[in-house]
Parts: sequence; C-alpha cells; structure tokens
Amino acid sequence: MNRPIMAGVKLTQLSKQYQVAGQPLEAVDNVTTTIEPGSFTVIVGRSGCGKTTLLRLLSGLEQKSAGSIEWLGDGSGGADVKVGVVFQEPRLMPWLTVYENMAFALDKQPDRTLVDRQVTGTLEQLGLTGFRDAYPSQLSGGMAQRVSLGRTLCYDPDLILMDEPFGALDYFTRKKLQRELVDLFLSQHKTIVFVTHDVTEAVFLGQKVLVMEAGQIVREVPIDNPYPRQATDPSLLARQQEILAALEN
Amino acid sequence: MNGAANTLKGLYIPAVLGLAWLAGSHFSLWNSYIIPPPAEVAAAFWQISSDGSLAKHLLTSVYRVFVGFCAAFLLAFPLAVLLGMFSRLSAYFDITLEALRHIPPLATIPMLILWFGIGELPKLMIVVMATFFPIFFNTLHGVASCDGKLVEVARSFGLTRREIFRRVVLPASLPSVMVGLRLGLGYSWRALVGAELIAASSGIGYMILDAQQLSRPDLVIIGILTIGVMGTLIDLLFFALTQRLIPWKVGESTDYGRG
Repeated sequence: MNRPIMAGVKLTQLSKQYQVAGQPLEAVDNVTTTIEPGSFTVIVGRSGCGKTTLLRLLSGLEQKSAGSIEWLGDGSGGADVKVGVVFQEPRLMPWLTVYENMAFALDKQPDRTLVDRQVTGTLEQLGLTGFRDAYPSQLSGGMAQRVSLGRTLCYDPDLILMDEPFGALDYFTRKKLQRELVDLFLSQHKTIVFVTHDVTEAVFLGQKVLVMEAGQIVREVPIDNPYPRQATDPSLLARQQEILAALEN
Repeated sequence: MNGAANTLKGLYIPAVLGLAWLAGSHFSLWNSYIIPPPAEVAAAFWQISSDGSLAKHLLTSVYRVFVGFCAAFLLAFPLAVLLGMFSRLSAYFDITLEALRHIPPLATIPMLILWFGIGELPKLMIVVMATFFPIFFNTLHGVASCDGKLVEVARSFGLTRREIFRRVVLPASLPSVMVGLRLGLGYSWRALVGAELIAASSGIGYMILDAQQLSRPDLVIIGILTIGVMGTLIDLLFFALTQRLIPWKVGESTDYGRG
C-alpha cells in the first residue's frame, strides 16, 4: 500500500461558474490556497458565499470551471487520493442498520473480518455499540450524524470534507460532537476540511480558518492554540472578532 | 402492535352480517330463492368441496392469476426501471401508456377472443393488462423519486452507476414496488374473474356463471365468498412478505400499502 495516509491539496485560481436565471454567477471565484496534509482547516462564511461549492469541487461532486486542484500526498505524489464527505444531513440509507450503513463504503473489501474489525472499532469509538442493529429512523439527530461520520471514517479517507455537519443539531449535542471531532483529529491524524457559518465553531476547531465572501477567500486566519481548546479562551475570542470583522467588511 | 385485538374488531361486521343472514332466513324475511339460507349454502359448499370441483375451479383461477401476475411483473418492472433511470426515454412512452392505462382490460375481450380464441392465452392477457399498470407506475414512482442525496453519498464513495442502482436506487424503491405488487394482485383477481365470466370452462368466474344458468344462487354465493376469502388470504401473505422485505418500515406504518 503506497497510498498516502494524509493528503493535502493545493488550489490554484480555482473557479466555478453557474448560470442562474441566464446570468453567470461566480460561486467560487479565483481561489488560491493550500491545505497542508494532516491539518484541520475550517472554511467560514455566510450562506451563499461559495463555501459549500468549494467543498463539492474538492469532493469531485462538482466539476470546476477553471483553475487546478493538485493533491499533496505523504509520499505517493498525490495520486489516487481518497476523499470522504460528511454532509450537512446524515444521509443514511434507511434500509440499512447502523452497522450496515457504516460498512456501506467497504463493500468491495474482500476480507470481511477486516471490515468487521474496522466497523466494530469505529462503532466503539463513536459510542454507537448499543445502536449497532438499529435503523436510522430509530436514531436521534446527533446519533444519526455520528453514524454518518462513522461511515466516512470506515471508508478510511486521506482527506475528510465536512459540510456544516453539526448545523442541524441542538447546542449541547453540537458542543459534544465538536469535542469528539477534535479527539478524532488528534488520534487519527486525518486531514480535515470543515465548512461552517458558525464563527465560534470555526475558532474552536480549526488550525487555520479561511474566511470566504462572494466566492473568494478574503482572509486566512491561523489559530495555533493547542487542543483541547476552551471556547472562553480570550485569545480565541480575539480571533473570533478578527474573523467577524473580516466578514462584516 | 395490538394485532389480535384489531383482528377481532375486524370480525364484528362479518359476524353481524352472518347473524342477520341466519335470522332473516330463519324467520323467512325474504324469498329463499333470492337469498338461500346459510344451511343450504353450507350443504352445497360441502358437496362441491368433497367432490373436488371447488378445489379444481379455485386452483385453475389461482394458477391463472399466478402466471399472469408473473408475466406482468416481468414486463412492467424492467420497463419502469428503465424509464425511471433514463427519464429522457419517457417522452417516447408517455402518451401510449397513458392511453392504454384508461382501457379496461375487459373491454378488449371481444378482440382477444377473435385473435386468440377462447383458450388460456386471452385470459392470461387480461390478467397481465390489469396487473401491469399498478406494478409499472409504483415501480416508476419508486425509482424516479429515489433521494438524490443518497445517490450523491454513493457517488462520493466512488460507486459506479451500476453499483448505485443496485445498492441505492433498488432498495430505496422497494417499498413502492411492493405497494405496486399488492395492488396488482388485487387487480388481477378482479380482472380474471371477469374474464372467466365471459369465456371459460373452468375457474371461479366460470363456476359462478354456470351456477347462474343452472339457477343455483347458493353456488353463486359460494363463488363470491371464495373470491373474497382468497383475495384476503393472498393479501395477508403478501403483507407478511412485505414486512419481511422492508423491516426498516415496520412500526413506522404497519399497514403499508393497504388501500
């Protein structure tokens, strides 16, 4: 296996144009930035700023209009990078149990004991062991989103893209999952790109926050506070002010 | 849930009707030729059960429904899947299917007899025509309304089109397909008995027609009740199968697809 364990990505003048009511709309406009392998990057911005489109370009669900996406690997030169996506909604298959949903992307793995070990381990890690045989309709929103995250983790991607995954959850569940995500990041050393409109969430999670406005990255804010962070930390609050100021310009 | 209690509740109306039948016949509230008394019907039932003629007619009808139903499925399911997956194709089929949908199968009997005689084929074709549309439209609906967000998940994991169909679209449309199959079964029973009333030498529909000509209302009643009971039994069987195949819907709506 000479696949990279972590992947980064270098975006050069990346653009995506849509036709909206006959008018061209630059959803992503000339974005140039680098996401380092093994880093936790947060893209923040208001609705319609192009952050979700940027994520969809990275995931391959949308085709770019111009520019380049260059994968940075840990050794293999960036070939064949596995990208996993966690969507805003859990998007679980209603006909599969929690276990089967988590194993969804592992269908082609011939070694089923390996799959079982992987899924069972992830279930344990996410506190889902007791829900193994439940169907998605029996889960709470937070649990369902955990399963969705677990499904992507089981896929073992080199880069995880997360599109406001906690946006629909209540305050307490969201806080809990944010902490769990930081723990996961520290233990699994995955590259994570996380999209949110919640500035507090952005500074709590990210090592670097990209502020987006009208399809462009208007500011890059590095945050080198060590994990685990306290949301009330004054230096984090200062970063938060900085981001808000950039957004309100 | 409280299945036994509900089954009991469902038996109240048949019980009351049965009692009214008994009492009305006992006190001669109506002419016994118009509504023969239960005892007479029971005796006739015993007679045609023991000489095997009821079983023979029933078996013939069940066989026709079975073959016609399977043929309808083999036609309707692939076509619906095809049109559901490639919606551009449906422009070619829309008008034809819409027109055919409105033709009652029984209306075609004269032509079917003219073309195919009075053998098995025209009867099976009646069943196929009646069963085709419920299966076709429900499958089409299931495939076409498959959640694009789930398809996107599969795409994000790098599944091919074929895999997406097998692992997402097909299971997602299964509840709709099952609804179509259950409706189709009901339709095929109705159409078959209609077909047998017109041109047949066996089957429950023929039995009823024959009884009419022999002035045996007791046999007519047996025929009618047999159709009702058989239909209910087949539906129950199918319902159990649905529960099995769609476990994730169980509890969400226990009477899925009844209507």
